[in-house]
Amino acid sequence: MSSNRSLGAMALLMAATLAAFGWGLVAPFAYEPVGPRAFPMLTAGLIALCGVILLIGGGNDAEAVSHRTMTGIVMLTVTLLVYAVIFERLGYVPATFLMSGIVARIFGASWVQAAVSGAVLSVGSYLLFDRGLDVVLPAGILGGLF
Amino acid sequence: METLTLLMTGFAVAGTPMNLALAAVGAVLGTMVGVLPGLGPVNAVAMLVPVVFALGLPPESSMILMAAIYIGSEYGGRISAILINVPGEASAVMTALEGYPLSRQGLAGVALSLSAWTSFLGSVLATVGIVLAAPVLSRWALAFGPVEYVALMIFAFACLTGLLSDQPIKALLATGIGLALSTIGIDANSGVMRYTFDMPNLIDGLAFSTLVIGLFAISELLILLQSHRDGVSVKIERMGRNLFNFKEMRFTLPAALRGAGIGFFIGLLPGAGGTVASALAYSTERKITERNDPEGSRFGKGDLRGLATVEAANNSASNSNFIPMLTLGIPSSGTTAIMLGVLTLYNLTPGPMLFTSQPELVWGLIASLFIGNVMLLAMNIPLVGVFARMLSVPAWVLVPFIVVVSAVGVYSGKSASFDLILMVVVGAAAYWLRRMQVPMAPLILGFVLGGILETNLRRALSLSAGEMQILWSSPIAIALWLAAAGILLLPRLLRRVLPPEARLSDD
Repeated sequence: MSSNRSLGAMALLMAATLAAFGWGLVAPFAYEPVGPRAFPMLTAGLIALCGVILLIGGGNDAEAVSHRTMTGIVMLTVTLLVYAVIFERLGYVPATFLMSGIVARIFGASWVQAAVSGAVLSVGSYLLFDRGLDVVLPAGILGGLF
Repeated sequence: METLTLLMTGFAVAGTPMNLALAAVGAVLGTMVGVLPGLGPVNAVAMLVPVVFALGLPPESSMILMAAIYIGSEYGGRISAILINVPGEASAVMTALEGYPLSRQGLAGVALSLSAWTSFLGSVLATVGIVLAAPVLSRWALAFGPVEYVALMIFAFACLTGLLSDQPIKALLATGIGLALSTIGIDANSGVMRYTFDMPNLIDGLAFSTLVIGLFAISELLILLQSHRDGVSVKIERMGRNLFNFKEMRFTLPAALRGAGIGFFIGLLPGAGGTVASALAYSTERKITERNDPEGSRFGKGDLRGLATVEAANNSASNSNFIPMLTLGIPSSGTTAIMLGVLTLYNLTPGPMLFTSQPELVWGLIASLFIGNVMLLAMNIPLVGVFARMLSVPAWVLVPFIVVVSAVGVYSGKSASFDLILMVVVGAAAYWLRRMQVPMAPLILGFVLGGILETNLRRALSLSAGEMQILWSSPIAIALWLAAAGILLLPRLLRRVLPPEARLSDD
């Protein structure tokens, strides 16, 4: 499928979602002629229109991404998602150490480079932000250490 | 006279020690991100959004910081373009055309210093232009009511859709997505929850900082990975003579002045920025040279005039860009769209009223452009070697660092894991959209202006008890509707004039 078609299909799906969940948006007491539903519906209409045009027009094949790059992209996204989830539970320093090490590996660092940069970045940024700039970061499992 | 007084007020605001320090920090930071290939001002400004709030900066200080980064990155973008033929950002593409051949000939030092000088010249001339033009443009701002605001927003969307993009439908789609995202959360007029899906974290709507960091910083990392090649060693040509001489300066001055002029007027057009300006200045200068001086033309092989005009145009346009942004609330790029969004976070409505309601902010920002440019020139000529060394920072150091700054920034807002997850999801979605060539600037503009558009639309229709005709009931509104229609047709004309390099930029 051409990339414009997939984009168009995605736009239609999004418009449908907006319309489906937006249809029930009616204020119990209306003080004004235009309620909370009109604007989301207009937006859904706009997105749907773009979707239809893209779907009919087609064309524009996105440059193919190599298998290796795609794996890298998926790995990076998953790493970031896991980082977001363990950020509070595990605490800032260990979570950042793990994330930083894995991301460095994805971008071609050696194991030693990844470990050292991860350690420096996680501890250094914790001291900078939490201690230096008063941004409260979760201490997590290393709570007593710092 | 009145303008002079206002400008003096501006210098008083920009000249406080804190604002001077912020301008300096922004100038250094901006030059650094400009140098780094793949990282543009938009990423740096996005990552700063939570920081300015965490530091509790007043609005004028955050604008000064962000503006310094924005203009600083224009200075930085040329360094990597000239030295390694990799433009740090889209508007430096034309710089590489003439700058890289020069550095291959051992004239890197001359090219760098000359382009710093013409960047400065372009910026300062444009800032003088802002001072002269802004009060005139802001005078007719008083007659704006809800009806005019609605038409103005539509005009803003038309500008970004029609002028910036070679694929208007995708820009329109991006606007739609931005508008849709702006409806998430509690509706202020009726108290109805919209698209919150019973998640308490969504009641206040999407956090602006989470959205911009996901859209720009996180998706950029995925794109960086896509273009990342292992083992590319950066080979910097020898610098040669460090400073241009007087003869070279005189030789390039007319080109630089023409570039500055072109840049200024392109930058005035809402929706068109440095990328378009530099491309237009380049092709103009090339035509002029080939007509008047066909033997002397070294265009494509390293012509100093080409370099001078491009840099002057590019910097002139990024400065005069502030005119449509400040007077109309229409940003021309992702960066200025984020700056507008930050203004709304301070409860300031971007648009014509800003000049009368916030003179200190507006004039402080204008004055800081002067100060920032002087700092950038002073920094860029002696320190160019230091900035050039940024080119050898490996991606495996840079990327985790960006993730950390992004995550801490997002987390500092609400201290919620929810926003971190949202940041990654937004980033992945934005990566996909960008691969599909959907521009990000209209999306962020849709999000920023969506709330204001809806409020004014509903207010206007309340005034008329639901009659649609009120939307085109005043002369200003009619003019704006017509201009919006015109601007959608303009790109077809512009495309014939501009070379293909002048395509869409997100910076």
